[in-house]
Amino acid sequence: MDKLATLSQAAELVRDGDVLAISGSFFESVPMALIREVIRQGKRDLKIIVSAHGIAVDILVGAGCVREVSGAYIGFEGYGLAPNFRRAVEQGTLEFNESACFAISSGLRAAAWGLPFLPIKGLFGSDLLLRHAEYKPYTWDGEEVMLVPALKPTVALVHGRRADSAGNVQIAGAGWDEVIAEAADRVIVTVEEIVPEEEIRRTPERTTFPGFLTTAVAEAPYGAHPAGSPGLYDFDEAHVLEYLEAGKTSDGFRSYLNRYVYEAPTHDQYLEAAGGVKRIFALRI
Amino acid sequence: MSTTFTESEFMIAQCARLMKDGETAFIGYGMPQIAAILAQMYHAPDLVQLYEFGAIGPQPSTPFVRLTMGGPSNCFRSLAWTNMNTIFAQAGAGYLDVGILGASQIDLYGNVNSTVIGDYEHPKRRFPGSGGGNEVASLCWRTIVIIMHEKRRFVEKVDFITSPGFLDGSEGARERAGLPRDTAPYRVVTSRALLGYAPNRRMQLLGVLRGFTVDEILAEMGFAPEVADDVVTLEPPTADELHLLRDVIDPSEAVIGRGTVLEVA
Repeated sequence: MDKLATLSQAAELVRDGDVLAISGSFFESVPMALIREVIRQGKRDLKIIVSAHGIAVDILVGAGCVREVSGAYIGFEGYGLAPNFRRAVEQGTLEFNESACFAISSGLRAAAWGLPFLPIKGLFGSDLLLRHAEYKPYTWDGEEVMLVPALKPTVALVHGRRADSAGNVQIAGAGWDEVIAEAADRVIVTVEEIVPEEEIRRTPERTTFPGFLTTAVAEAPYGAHPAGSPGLYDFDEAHVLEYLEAGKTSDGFRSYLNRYVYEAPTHDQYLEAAGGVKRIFALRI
Repeated sequence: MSTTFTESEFMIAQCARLMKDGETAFIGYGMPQIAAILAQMYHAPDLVQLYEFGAIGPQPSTPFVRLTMGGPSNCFRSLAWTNMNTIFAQAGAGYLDVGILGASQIDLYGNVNSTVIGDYEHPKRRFPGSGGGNEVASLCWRTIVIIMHEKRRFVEKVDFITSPGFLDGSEGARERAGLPRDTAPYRVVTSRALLGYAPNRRMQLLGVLRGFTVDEILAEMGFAPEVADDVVTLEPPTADELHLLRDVIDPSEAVIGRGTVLEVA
């Protein structure tokens, strides 16, 4: 079944009020082209479930798309705090429901397996429990486990390495992308490259999740930029620093969004705005 | 001849010396990453680094100037790319020898706060979230914490237990809380000293950087730890270690440049 879509068609599958899960980590395999299109389309009231993420969440928050974030860490690690996220939490316009990485990734795993909860180890003795009455300790045959409820995204936004037109997706690098794809009702995918089905059949050991999970797939080369794609290109540190500088003020961030999102209405135009072929190619690994 | 080095360089070298060849190590971002690369280059080529995003056994590309653990350079030359569920489950199943974490506050019993300073609802300072820190300290057999040696960081009781140490310090407190038996906090590497835990589970001073006295170290802690009978002198980073850190791993000094400069005779 043909799942091919344009970037714009793919992003239209996101609805106001959706619960989003987002692929990748801080600076790799982040579906940034898709996220920019979600921003252009003016989606609102989104809830986000992630374990640890940075720019993916921050740019959506800064663009006013997000009402609530469940996560274990939102920031830019050694590069600093997430400027828009921090502003929104401090101003009270965004709810941050703080937990721990394994609890969240296990909640998503429970949803992926169609289970109401999963037992995990960990969290015992931590004050994080004071903030999560829904986590329940349970003793099984003398062994203590913590039951964490399923976290069900309505939409997964995923950026992968390649896929065929049926949405069989291959993703390189560490990640949890098959988990969020299995957990979500709709799975919206961008890839660096659309390949023939034959190419997938030749390399099934690389397939991250099958096409029956995929709702739509769009080709977006360098679609993780300014994040990177493992084995293909590194993340664009200079661009990330520019982002953080712009994010220091709301006005500065508005200018960033104008330049790289609103006034670059297609992904191709974004790549031009972000430095063009020469600079983007210099990121190749 | 005196050696000049930053506090970060000292902490990284100390931490690297605690990593053993062939061990599996759950690495947090920042100084632990640099320490793991140094250990791998210097004395522990078969150290298996694991990162919560799922990279197992990477040999991160150097110079390692990137301030992230979620980027392609950090996953370079991995043995396997798995996912977060896998790594934490492996930790829970007992495959991870040691976890290495940064922290904002630590207390007498090794409980770590990386969530909030002050009250949670009305904080003096709130951090961006503790990521997988809780699980690292809960599930790895031994946990090493790297922290600047400052009085405000060593507190009698942390404002928020993000990651469990020995909890209230009573015997069996971790097990009673539901944590895996025989897992425990192990070492605290600071910018001046090395600490461990006495049999009564209180933090214990084990070593002091050459040029400093035990009293000077204790004066910069908000509680009185036990003091080992034979407190050792910790040597500054060696010329070899400094060469690897400055010329090979982090020439931009993004991580190793942090902290004040120390000079030790």
